[in-house]
Amino acid sequence: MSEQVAVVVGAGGGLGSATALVLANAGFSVTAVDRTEKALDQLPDGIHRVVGDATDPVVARNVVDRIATESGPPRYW
Amino acid sequence: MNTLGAFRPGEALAATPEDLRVMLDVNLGAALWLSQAVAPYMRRRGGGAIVHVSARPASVPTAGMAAYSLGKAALNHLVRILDLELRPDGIRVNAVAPQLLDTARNRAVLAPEALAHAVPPEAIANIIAFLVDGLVTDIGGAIVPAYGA
Repeated sequence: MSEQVAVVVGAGGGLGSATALVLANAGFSVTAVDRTEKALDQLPDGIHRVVGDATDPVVARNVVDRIATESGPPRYW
Repeated sequence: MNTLGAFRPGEALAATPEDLRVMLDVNLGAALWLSQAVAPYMRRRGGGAIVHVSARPASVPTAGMAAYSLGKAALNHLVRILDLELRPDGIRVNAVAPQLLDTARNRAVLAPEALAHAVPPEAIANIIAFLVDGLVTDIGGAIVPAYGA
């Protein structure tokens, strides 16, 4: 069974966390990204977490590459 | 789904180089760097969908938030450029543009009357989910307004 991989950046914020939950409830395999681990603590188990500051182009690329390796190439970003 | 954003109030004549740098870095730069990084994976998969979060001041001139508005306005244009450049690869790029979100952070700093038309984050999240839905194959370059009643 192929999984729909979705990534939500800024998932520690109100909109980001709501988006992560909506997509997870819709059946997506969700990875949540934010600048700090603390910001992602509120998310339920089952949502993967990656810490990184996407305003840095090198970090953004590293975050995407890590997600692709760990969860599979994202189709929904 | 790029929900990153930062806000700084301030009129155009009061904007500092730091204000502009931060507003562009967070509201535009992150969108560009993330899109650059994820597009090659989507191309190899034969397609995908990217959604960025813009804001009403990006397209409706609003006093008192110049640097922020400029960052979001540039983001709108980026979404349309990315749509042109990535649509041949089956990658759709869209954005949703809220006006004001009903969040704990906003409730802590804004008066109740200012929040009268605030939209719950879940409503915006539902629009984002719609934009990535596999059934929605022909929408690209759209900036979907979500301003509340």
